Amino acid sequence: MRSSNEVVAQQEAGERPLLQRLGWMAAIWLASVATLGAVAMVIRWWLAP
Amino acid sequence: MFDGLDALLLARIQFAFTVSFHFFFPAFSIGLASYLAVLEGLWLKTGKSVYLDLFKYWVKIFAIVFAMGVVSGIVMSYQFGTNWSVFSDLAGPVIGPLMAYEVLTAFFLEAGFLGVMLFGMNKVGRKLHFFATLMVAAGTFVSAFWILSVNSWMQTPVGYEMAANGQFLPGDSWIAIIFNPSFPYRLVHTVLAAYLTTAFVVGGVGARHLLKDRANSHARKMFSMAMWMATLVAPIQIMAGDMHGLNTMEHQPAKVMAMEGHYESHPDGAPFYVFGIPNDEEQRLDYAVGIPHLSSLILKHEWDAPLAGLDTIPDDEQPPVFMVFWAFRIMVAIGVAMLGIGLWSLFARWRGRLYEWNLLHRAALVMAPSGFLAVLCGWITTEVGRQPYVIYGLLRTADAASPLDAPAVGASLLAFIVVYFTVFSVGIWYIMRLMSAAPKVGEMGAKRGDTGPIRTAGITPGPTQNPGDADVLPAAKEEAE
Repeated sequence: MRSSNEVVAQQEAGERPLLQRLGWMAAIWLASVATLGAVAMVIRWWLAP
Repeated sequence: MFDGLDALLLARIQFAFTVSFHFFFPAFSIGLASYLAVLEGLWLKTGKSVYLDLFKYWVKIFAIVFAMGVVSGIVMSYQFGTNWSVFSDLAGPVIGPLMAYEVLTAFFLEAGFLGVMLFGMNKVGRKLHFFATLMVAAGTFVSAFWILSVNSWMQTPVGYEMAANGQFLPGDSWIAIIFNPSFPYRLVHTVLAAYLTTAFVVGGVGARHLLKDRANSHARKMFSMAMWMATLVAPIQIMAGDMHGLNTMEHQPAKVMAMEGHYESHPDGAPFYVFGIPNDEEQRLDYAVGIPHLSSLILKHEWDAPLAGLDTIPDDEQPPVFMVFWAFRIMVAIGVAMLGIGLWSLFARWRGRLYEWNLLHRAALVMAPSGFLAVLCGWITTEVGRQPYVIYGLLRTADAASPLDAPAVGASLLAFIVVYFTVFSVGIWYIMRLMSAAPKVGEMGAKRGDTGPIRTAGITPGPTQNPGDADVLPAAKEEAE
């Protein structure tokens, strides 16, 4: 059933207002950058405590 | 444990080990990001779900490759401070800003939009998702641009001013530094190598699944796309490599002499040695098998053109020949084999046997990891070939290392070897596992049920409720074609 749910979710996403979709994009983008930043900081602490 | 060893040698081994390990990942992710953008673009344009299925199949692999590339890349940067602090101090004003741009690109284009690419399809809609995929692909390219600019500047340093304390400072124009003489050739050759590496991995995976099931439409599609790439890009890459070699001949002649195994000068035309055992001590190529005049023809485009040998270079300015000579030959041999596979696939396509020729599929499977070996050998050729300098002609490698004792460098090298083999082995094993599963209709929840009913009448579930089964609806199968 996951495939049909996914199709519905994609269609719903396409019907959302542009601002809402851009907001989601910004939120996911920020979370991704923050995650990589956290990984970099961990390695930095490991190498140069 | 490391008391008797040379700290400089250990630092060089550490950098060689980590950078070799690291480059496998960007070599794959640069090409794979572009392949994903092509797949998603084709899906949006044609509406055929086979492209979306393939996108979803490869995007999982891309995410892991990208993550391992970033982690191993971050470690590289820190090594500049730990083992090569003199180099960082002297060259930092020039290479620091360029590397900072690379980090910004990796963070804000690649990593940022990767999140949207992986998790955003159901949140941002198809077009914004495609935009994110394009940004990731652009990010991998821009990242390569900056890193290769730095590396090229170290090979052909221009546009700098020397400070009184020996530091390299940026001159009047950053353009001269960024677009240094070897940069365009190096960028084109490396990016094409990444595309070919990816093409052969995709082609190998497609071939493996075709060997198991010739009717697998997804395997057919990825194999066909990969073979087109090999057919078209392999000859371009060979031409780009030739131009890169001519550029190296102009700026780093000793490296080319080592690549060619030319210990002696040849005033009446130089042979191309197909085989030989370089003997640096005696300054000769043992057991040499050469084709007369071919080297002059390749490098000067003249039959009798004179070529200088390493006998014109002082001993302490010569690179170690053995590694350069053989790494170059392995790279060229793989390039020729790639061209051969591309032409073979073209012939098979013309004969209508692209998906039926088992021997071709087996050959493509064997060639799947060849791109990685080729890029590794290419980097060995260029990096060992520029020794004994780290900034060519200006700063010797021996003068660029941190003032550390061997145990300090050796311990971190040991830690890197243990951690890298542990962490990355798991990652590579998982990638292999993902690749061993055949791509299928409805890959990772793609829109397979779109063309048929969600549930058939009656108690027994219809075929649409088993995504990925061979027994698919005719309409879905047709669409996948």
